[in-house]
Amino acid sequence: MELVQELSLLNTYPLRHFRWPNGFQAILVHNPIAPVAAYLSHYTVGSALEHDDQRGLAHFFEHMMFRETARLRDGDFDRIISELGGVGLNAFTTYDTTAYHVNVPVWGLERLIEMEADRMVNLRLSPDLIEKERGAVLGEMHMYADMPSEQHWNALMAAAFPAHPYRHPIIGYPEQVAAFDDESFRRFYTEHYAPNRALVVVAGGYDEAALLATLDRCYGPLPRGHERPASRPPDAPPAASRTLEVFHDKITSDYLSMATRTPGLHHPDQAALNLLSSLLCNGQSSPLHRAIVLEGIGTGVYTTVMDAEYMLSSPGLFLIDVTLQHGVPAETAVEAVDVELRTLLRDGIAGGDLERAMNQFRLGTYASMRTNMSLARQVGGYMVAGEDPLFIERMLSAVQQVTREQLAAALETYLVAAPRLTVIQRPQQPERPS
Amino acid sequence: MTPIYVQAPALPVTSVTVILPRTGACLDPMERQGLMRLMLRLQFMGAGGKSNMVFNSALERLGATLSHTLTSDYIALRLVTLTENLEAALSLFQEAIHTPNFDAKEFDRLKAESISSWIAEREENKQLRVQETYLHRIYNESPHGFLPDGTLEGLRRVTLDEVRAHYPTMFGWAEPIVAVLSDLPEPTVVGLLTEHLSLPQGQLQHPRHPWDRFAPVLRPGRHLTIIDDPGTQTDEVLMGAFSVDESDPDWHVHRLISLIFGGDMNSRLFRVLRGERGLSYGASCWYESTHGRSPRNRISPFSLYTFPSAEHTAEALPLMVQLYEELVAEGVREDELTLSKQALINSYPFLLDAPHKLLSLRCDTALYGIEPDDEQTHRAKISSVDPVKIRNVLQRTHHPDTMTMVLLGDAKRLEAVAAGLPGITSQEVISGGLPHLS
Repeated sequence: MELVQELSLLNTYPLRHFRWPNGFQAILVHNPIAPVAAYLSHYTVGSALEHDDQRGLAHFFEHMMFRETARLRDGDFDRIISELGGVGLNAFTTYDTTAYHVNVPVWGLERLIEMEADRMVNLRLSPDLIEKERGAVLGEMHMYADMPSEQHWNALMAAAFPAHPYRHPIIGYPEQVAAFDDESFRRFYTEHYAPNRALVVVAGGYDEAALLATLDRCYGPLPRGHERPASRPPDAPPAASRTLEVFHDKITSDYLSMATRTPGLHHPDQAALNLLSSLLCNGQSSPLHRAIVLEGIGTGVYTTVMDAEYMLSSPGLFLIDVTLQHGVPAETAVEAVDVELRTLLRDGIAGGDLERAMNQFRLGTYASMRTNMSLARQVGGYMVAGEDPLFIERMLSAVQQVTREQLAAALETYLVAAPRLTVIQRPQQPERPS
Repeated sequence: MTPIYVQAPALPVTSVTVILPRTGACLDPMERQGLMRLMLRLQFMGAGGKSNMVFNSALERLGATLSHTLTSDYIALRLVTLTENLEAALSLFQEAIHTPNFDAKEFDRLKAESISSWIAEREENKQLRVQETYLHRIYNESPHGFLPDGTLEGLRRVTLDEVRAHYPTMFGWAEPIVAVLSDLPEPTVVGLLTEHLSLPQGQLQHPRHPWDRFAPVLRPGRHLTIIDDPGTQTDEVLMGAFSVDESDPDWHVHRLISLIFGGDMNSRLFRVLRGERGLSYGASCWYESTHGRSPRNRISPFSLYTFPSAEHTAEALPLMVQLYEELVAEGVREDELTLSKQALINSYPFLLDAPHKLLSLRCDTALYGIEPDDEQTHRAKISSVDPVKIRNVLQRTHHPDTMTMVLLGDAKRLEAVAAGLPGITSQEVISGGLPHLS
């Protein structure tokens, strides 16, 4: 293995990045506060790499990773994690990655790593177990189907990326999920699970020599697999603004999203966009909170720069979401947001607002690094999407360098002048008698 | 002032939490459920004569936030700030605690917002609706059985005068507890707190809190409530009965019971309902006190929960009841117990692996007088448990024949499912449609 880089996160946590000849990578973040560690395995496959007949397979596959391998019977993985005293065992699938995570006492790391490496290459995908797990996956789909926010989100992504795989729900479609067979899973496993597709982040009070020896023994000999297929190029940005209405029979108030395209994680404007998000919405005194919540239009307003946190490596979205007060139509919020954005552009950004936005961004960044697992997720997420384990720290620094002029330029380019997708979820209108 | 202090040197952030024990949402008048929550939110919307905008603008520019935690039996008011601005932020925190404006315009807006949010949260989250009905029923409609965000009727009734009158009821129940997490050394923090934060002291005015009068009502039989919500793809199933409080000498046995039956992916409920049968995405159990819905030092319901796809409820519901009956009648297997003992013993370090967890443990001790075991004692207690002990504890404190059950889904279908359940002594169907605001 080679030491790729040796860094310090926030001048507090020593961080070392290693790479093996078979392409496997590990980042170790030392935090010796307790004899425990967070272990996070990222695979560079998410729903966006599925073929048209595989929608939902990356997520379903994530479930199967907890079942059976050539060495472990069904149920052994969960049982051994419990024996080790592991907590928070779980996984998640996003558009661009799949991640598996757990916290264990440091003396349990060796056994955990053996099992993680084992399931990377030795998974058994029997029809019987697939069938059992299918019920849980369909149950999960049904659970999401009952949540109005999920329907809204799926509509938004489908409209924002009409020609890109991001338009499909990560969890897939019931008819396809019902039909995946063991061959579907085997093909997916061969295509996407291999050491050169994995990044492991360990954060905690480990003994580095012992940890490296175990990683080397378990992952080092594994054969390199297929390289990650190139991501589909993003859709061309929309040429014009449009509005989409969706209806739900279990809600009584409107819900609004306004989405504009952003250039993605590596673009120089990303820092200004992050600061803009904090400026517009972070705090009760922020302009959009004043315009929407304090004026009684909505019960909440939120801005999000969708980037690596959501594993959308490129392109990204700038989202403004509003939960409307009962009886207030979404169009009122659209108008209020537009007035506020144009006023900011015309009158300039006040010094106090800029100070608030920067300090609240700093506070939020620190809050996202309170535990070993949150450290691992920040480092791992940005490493996978941005190939930089210190991305979050560099972003923190970059945000503090943003000038008022850059902020205003980002506001104009991405929120005022850019074509916008507006999605409004409304209560289902009663059917009229025919 | 002697705060509970834990140093967190890694990040330049300080949090100061003022905990008011023996208060909480349980002090809401029966017809005004939600009053305390409204009051706490309004408290941070302008103080010391500064308007909401002026106050929060000053606070937020410092890189600081104010928030609160409200449970049934305590209130925590929390300042989190960039440490470099602690002094200025403390002064604003002090104003919010002592001289909130309770402005009429802010109140009207906040009330409308709270009502709208209350409804939207329940439209999104069915579990919340099941949970609140379950608590109302199991606590026999007493003041103890409400979620802190109140009821729609309660929120609608609250007036600004009532908020103003309610404010003093936060104080005088017990000495406040101050808890600090900071990268600054303790003497520096104590110096700043002494200078900038004073809290109401003096004679305690309220000797008896509503929770002091609490005695669980165990209604024999199984009492079923069906919340009619047709058209949903999953049903909600929540059931349970009063069991034990965390000061019980056998609390470690209860932790094992909870873990074995529904605590993780190895548990019986999860393994059978999801792993073996594929009936539901999840199934679990818990003591309500561990979820903050009842005080840790009061007897708490033990609850079982799952959310099967609608077509699987007919199989999942009786199976869940049967598994619980078997647990109480037969106890646990040696292999299950061995695994859970290992899990609890070996996971001990996770109680202490971050500064905020250390602080939380120490606050819990101050609130409830329940000392966490050190690692050796923890290990010894857990190791000493055997299947006979588990069965004795189960049969003494668990009552599968005396349960409150709440289901949410299509009432006609669920009534047919419930008809096959033995021992139902009362049954009601309530509307699941959320009320309109017109």
